[in-house]
Amino acid sequence: MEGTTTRRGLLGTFAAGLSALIGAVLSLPFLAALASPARRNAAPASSGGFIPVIPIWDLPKGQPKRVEITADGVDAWARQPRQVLGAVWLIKVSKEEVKAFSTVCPHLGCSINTTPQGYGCPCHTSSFSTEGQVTGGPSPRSMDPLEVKVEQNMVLVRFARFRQGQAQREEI
Amino acid sequence: MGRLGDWLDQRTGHRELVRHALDEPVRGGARWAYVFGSALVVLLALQGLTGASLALFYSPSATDAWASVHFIQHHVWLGWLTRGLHHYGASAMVVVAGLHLLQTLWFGAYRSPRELNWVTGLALLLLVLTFALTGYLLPWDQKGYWATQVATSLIGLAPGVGDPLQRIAQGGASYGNLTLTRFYATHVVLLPALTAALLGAHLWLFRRHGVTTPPGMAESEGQAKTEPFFPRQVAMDAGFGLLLVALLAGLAVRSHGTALEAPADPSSQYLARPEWYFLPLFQLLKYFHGPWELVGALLPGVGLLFVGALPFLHRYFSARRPRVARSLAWVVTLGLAGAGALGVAAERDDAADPNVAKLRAQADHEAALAERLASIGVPVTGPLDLYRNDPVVWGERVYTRKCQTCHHPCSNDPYKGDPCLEGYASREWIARLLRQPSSKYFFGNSHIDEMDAYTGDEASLRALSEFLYAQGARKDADAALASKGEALFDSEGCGACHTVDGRGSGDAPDLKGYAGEAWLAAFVRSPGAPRFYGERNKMETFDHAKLDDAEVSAVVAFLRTQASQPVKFP
Repeated sequence: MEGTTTRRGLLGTFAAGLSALIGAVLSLPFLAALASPARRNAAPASSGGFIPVIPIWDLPKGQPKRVEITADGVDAWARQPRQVLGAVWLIKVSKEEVKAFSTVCPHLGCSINTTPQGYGCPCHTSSFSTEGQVTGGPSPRSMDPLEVKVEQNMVLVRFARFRQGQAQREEI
Repeated sequence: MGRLGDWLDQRTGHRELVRHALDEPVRGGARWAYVFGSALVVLLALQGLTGASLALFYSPSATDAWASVHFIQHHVWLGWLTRGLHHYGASAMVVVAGLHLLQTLWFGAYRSPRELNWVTGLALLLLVLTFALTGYLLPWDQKGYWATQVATSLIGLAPGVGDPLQRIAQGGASYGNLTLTRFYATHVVLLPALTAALLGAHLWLFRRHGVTTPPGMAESEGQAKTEPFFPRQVAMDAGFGLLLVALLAGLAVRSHGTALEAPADPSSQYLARPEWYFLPLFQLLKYFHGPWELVGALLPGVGLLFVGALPFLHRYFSARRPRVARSLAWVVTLGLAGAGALGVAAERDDAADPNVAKLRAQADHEAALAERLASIGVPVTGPLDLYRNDPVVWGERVYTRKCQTCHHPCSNDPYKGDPCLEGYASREWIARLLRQPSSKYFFGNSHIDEMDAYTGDEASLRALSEFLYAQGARKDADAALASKGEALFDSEGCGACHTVDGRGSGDAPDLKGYAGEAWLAAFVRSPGAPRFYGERNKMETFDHAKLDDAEVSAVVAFLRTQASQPVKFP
């Protein structure tokens, strides 16, 4: 009788183990699908190259101008021509030199406006100098500069997004 | 742990429930023949979980469906494996359901009072097939699109109510967004709900009537050998289930998921074939034509009614013939074997048909092409515009549809078309044209016979060809040879009819920039212009109503590639 009980116990553990294994195996693809977007390069990104945004003569010297960035974008699988990716603050320093800042506040992602003192975020009152340096409010870092160049009188910007809410600048 | 269990048990009574499930008496003892029912539950869980994974990414619209499936296959973590498991899982459902049915049949477990177990089981089998049918369309690729068309067209054959029924099935007069939303909703909401309800009823009825004594075992012996479901039967069920899942995973890994064919193209020539479990029905239809087609479509329904009526037939006949159960089991088994034979016949017919092989190769080529082009994303306007991502590919498609109706493939034998353009404007093609303008591969069939064949020596021919070849702004043109050819052009009398000034004489096409981008585009738009054939023109004029500018550029891009292709006629 004792033998039967042990056998039943062992076999029972075996049966339960097998069933649990099936459950684990079946869950695997689902968990992978669920977690898939957490990976980097989870989707084909829009090309990270320079995007032409505005002819240089359309920029007033020394004054920030907000310009939309339009480019062919890919949303998951769908390729959309001339999609608005975001906006950028452009400041013409000289005929050949332009500075560019992301309009996204490094604090929590609101849109940064110009103020008499430079720039400011209307959401949580972070303020920045004309050079983009943080001068007040909760923003953990200065405004995010973007790579910019002028070629054949066209201003080109390499559009990028950055992780918010941290002192260190990290492109995403 | 134990205290938590106690707490939970006091509130839910779950221990009683688990004990009830595990202590189910298995009359005659555990055996491998009983594993199929549980295996179906495992498969159902597999389909549910992989289905939920796919639904996280799938988008049921005519513009997005194919692209989202391509995305799953290539960009989702283990997406290919999930697709493969779901695909092979569907086939496994049909196989294991068939085995479950045969086991129940030969063990006589359908007999009174288990009529409703049998009927609900059969209804579940039909649900499995409906799952398969609705799921097949969802990727919106050529395979699913055309195979499902056949199914919905069959519905349309029903006398009187065919048309409205077909519209209801496909969500409108033709295939599109509404077909996909309808099939998707059916596949992921209606069918799972129905399956859950029917499975509940099936299991409840099973527990109510219990396991039958195995055939050939006396009632008393069966009673004596009764053991609980747990652990022996559970171990067998789980072992088989795990083996099945491993097998499916192996299949999915071997084929890296499952094929995604080129996007559904209503204008294409495609070989419509259903998935293997519907092949018998497909083959059956080959034997019925015209008004009999409906009979062919209804025959499986009659078979199904017979199978459904089995317990009632048994009850009716068994009073007079005690061994009728065996006869009935044989009838159903042979019927299934017959269906299998039909499926094999369908495969053999296809294997023996060279046209099938050709169309399959074409489909594989298109699938690989679409997959490559989609790697940079699919246009929001839909996957068919994918081919526009590559002007040459797009051009070939436009060429095949609009130009090949006259400019036949060179491989046609006998050749009855206008000039064959494979290898067009290559040095070899030009040289052959100069030698034999009246060949059937050039102007022979178009009955343009004003041009004289060039009879000069081989070196002059090469120089003349190079001159014309260089007109198309070819990077590899030999400038010295071409200028030699230019001199010959006048001295050999070509200039008597052909001008090289971009204006033309009306006698023969002007050859300035011959086969270059601008020349070709202008020629396609108006071959009857004085610069080209003038009043002698015999080619169709492709104005903006027939080809838009993008299509003309694409065709030109494709034709330009031909100069580096070999000539494909003798």
